[in-house]
Amino acid sequence: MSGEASHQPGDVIRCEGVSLTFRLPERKQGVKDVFMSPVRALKTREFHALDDVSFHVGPSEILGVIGNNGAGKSTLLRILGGIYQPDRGSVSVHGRIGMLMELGAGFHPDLTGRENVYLNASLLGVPTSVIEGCFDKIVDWSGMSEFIDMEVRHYSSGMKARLGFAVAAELRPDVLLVDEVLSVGDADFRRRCDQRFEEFVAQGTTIVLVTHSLQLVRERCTRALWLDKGTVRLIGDPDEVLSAYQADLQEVRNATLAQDNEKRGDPENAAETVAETMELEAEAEVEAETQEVPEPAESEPVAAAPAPVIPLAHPSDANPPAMPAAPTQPKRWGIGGLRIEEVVLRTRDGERRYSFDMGQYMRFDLRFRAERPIEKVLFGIQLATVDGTLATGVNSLLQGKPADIEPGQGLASFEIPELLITNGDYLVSAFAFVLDGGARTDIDYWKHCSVFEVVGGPRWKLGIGWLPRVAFHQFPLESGEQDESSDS
Amino acid sequence: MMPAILWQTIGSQRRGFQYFHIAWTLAKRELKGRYRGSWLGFFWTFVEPLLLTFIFFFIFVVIFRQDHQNYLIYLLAGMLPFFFLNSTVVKSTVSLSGYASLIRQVYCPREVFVMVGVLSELYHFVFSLVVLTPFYFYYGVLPSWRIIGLIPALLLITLFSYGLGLFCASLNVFVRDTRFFITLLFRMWFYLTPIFYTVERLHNLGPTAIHLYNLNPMVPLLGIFRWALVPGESLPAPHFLGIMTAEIFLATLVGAVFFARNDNTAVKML
Repeated sequence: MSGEASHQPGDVIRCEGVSLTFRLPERKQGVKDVFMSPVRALKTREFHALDDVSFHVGPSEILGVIGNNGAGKSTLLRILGGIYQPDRGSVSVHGRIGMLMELGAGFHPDLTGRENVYLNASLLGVPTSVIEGCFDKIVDWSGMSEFIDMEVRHYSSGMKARLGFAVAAELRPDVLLVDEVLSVGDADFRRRCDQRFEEFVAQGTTIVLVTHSLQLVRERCTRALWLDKGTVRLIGDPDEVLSAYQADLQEVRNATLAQDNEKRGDPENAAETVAETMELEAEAEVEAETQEVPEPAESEPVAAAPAPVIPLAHPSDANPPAMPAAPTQPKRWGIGGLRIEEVVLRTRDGERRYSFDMGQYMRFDLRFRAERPIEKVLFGIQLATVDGTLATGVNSLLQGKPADIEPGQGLASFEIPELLITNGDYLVSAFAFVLDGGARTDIDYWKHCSVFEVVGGPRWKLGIGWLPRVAFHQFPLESGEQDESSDS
Repeated sequence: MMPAILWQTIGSQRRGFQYFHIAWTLAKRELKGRYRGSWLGFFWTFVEPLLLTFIFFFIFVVIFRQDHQNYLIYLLAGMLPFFFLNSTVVKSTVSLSGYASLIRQVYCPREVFVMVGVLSELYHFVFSLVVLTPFYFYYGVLPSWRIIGLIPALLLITLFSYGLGLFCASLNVFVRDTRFFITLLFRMWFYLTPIFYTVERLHNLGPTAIHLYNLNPMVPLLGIFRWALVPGESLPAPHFLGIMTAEIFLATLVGAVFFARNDNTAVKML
């Protein structure tokens, strides 16, 4: 067939400086908009889906395309498949192209499965006589014989993927473009796809695979292409590209968290509250009450800026029963006299970060300023998950080090040599308090002042905590031993 | 020297016709699916023109005493081709958006989806001509050798509907109001075209008006259909036929150029 003839030594796919721009109206337009505000109606937003993308793919290669949503992965496949023409640059693909786009592999929803198989094949350029020969095989492989005369609109995405993949597999295109199709199937389907992939490679089919499954790229692809905002960030060995991509993901996450932390750290943002204490005995509260309650807004001694004051309902707010899901807003309260100004999360090198690896070193630096001398001040931090569940905490009382504070700036630092909480986001609360005969009085409690993430934890998250150095033993008990124990 | 846009158009059309078999498959499917689940099924092809014929019969023969000798044949011979053009263009207008899911998933020249509308409506139209049979018996007349005139008439109207279809399909991607506008336009066009009245009725308007009136390509085109199908009708004047043919070719060319020019932009907006 023509596909055979067009096999040429060298590259099967060549992409040279491909750019594609979408020009989209700012919003959906009607005649009304055109008349009411012609300037805005005619304004379009340019979206550079792909910008100067160049790469080559050789025969029987499997190229995995990864990248965030909106990076241009599907657009790239559509260009390779000839659906879109690039605005600049050139694309050449040798041989028959089979396409399996995200939802439905070139199926028309109004046609039945059977009709779609024929349509799909004729779009691939396969004559009807050839399809008739292998139609039963296609249906068998897809396991869709029951539904083959049903309209495709009633198919699930998994069913569409099965049939689409079966057609592509049977009609043996020279180039197969796959967009996230394999992830919708069940385990059995994926296993058979894996098998087919090996056959494809053996046949010399070139595959371009767009996927979010990094594992699939690692296991199946000969090369990986990382698209980022329409440009090629990296292309090459899958392991190399994947680790760079993952590192970048963590970096991006770190930046997002840093932004979040900036907002949390801003004193204007923390909802200052009147003194709240956790005493068990009421008398310790008197000092706080008299100082704070009469005129909360004015007399707030710790307020560096006119902060919004919301009356606190209950002391139990320190650990509320139903904390709204993230983003949990910071809150602070305390009798004042000492104010935690900043909570900095650092690595062993002292680098400020918001993303930490599990099991590694982590340090919390609490920078504070005291206004008057206070005796026996204790510092603490608490870590909570984003739904407000307390995960763990530490304070200087546990270390037995109450400190006498002089007016001025100071630093309290908690070093955690091994961060043994599993991956996820954690909210930090930092506080300074004094113990007055068994009762605890908060000088400054800054709840959820910071957020950070833990990565690189166990593959299956079983909980917040991590039990280190667990040993597992398994052995049969001797029958005599068992009898003995049951006798006694 | 032909400008580049013409070469682009020719290339685009050639690619489209290479995929003609796809259009044929989809058109067959559309015909099969059209009346599925309805009681009368394929008979709807005849029911609609028949019903309209009786309405027009009542209005123009019973009430207005229309004196054309084979009025009902005359009426159908004009109405059926006009409805063919109307429904093809309306269908083509929404063809790209209707097949958007397919277009976004696999390469297929977009002309194909306009062809689908033309093909399925053409099939429908040719079959609906059967409706004329009982009226030949009613008037006791038979079509003569002139029925071969249907061939050029069909070719011209098919070409015309394809050209207009290409234009509207492309335009509708950018301006979604096109489909509503088209419906209105065809309603006006219907009254501007001698379908339920005869051209002779306008003769008292004077020659200039008649010339202007004949600039509507559907006037001479329906004239050919009537010459072929209605006994006693004469062929429109040759210069009217010439102008009409030129207009249809020009419209088709404009439609094809417009479609080819906007194709790459349109597909990105689907």
